[in-house]
Amino acid sequence: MSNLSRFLVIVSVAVFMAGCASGGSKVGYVDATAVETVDESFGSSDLQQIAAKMVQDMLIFPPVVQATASRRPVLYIDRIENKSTEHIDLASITDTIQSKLIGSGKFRFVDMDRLAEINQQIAYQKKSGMVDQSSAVATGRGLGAEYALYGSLSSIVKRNAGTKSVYYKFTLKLQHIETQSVEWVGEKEIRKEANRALFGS
Amino acid sequence: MKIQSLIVMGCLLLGLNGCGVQSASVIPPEELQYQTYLEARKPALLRKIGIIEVGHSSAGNIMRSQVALKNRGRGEAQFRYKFRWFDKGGLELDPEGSPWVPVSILSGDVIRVQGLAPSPAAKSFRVVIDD
Repeated sequence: MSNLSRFLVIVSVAVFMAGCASGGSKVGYVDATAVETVDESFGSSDLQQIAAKMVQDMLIFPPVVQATASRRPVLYIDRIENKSTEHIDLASITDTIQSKLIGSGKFRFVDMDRLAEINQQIAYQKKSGMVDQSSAVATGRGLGAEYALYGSLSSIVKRNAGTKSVYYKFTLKLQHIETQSVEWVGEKEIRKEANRALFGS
Repeated sequence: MKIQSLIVMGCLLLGLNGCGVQSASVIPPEELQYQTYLEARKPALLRKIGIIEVGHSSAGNIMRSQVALKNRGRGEAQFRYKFRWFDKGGLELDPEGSPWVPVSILSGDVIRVQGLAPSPAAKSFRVVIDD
């Protein structure tokens, strides 16, 4: 093997090894609200955009403005149906929506998932004999929900040789329990597209 | 001689280009009043993107604002923005609450973006832009 060939082989091996070395993972903190486009599947940015739009649309809707002008109506979150093709934790979206709505000072919530725990705590305070009854909570004072929030997330996926397009639509509805009327509907559409290169990553 | 001419011409072109950038970066007087609403880490982005209009409204007692962003520069501007809200004491409300929103504006074009304050405590706002 000539000297030049030997040199080229050594350089190639060195470059290859350097590539391997730099392939190690590097961890750091990044802005949680930054736009994330790691891939085309449902991500943190989509969750944040949906929650922000739903809350904004709901709070500026004139009948909602009127209903919350002088009091804080009580809501509960009913089922958010995942009609998409992905496994998505929709509770994360409703938790963020709930957090923002409570933070706005316009609504209160009752948590239907906590009934068993609340009843357990009340029973402990009333019946265990361990709690000073002057400090125990009174029973039968729970707030009745006036509105239900429910909705769904659907998706449409299309792909060809080089492109994958995913469309999400999140729908949220506010229903008055007593009259059963739907008082407000909000929608957020997101489309993401991934183009795959012919060569390389 | 040829190389020297090329170098001189290159310097002239760079200089003229620099002048071009400067003329695009001058903020029109009618927009100066709105620049206090805009924040950016990068001065170059501030030279390119400006606020030309500000609107205020409210949802009940919650502040709602709209700004018109204009791309004063050459070429499409791709960046992200978010609204920051402050109470009467100047303290930022819910600093981690709002996500960055990606937008793109063609050269000379204007887009209008809206924000709703996180609570009635908000009394002022800024629009932050970044690329």
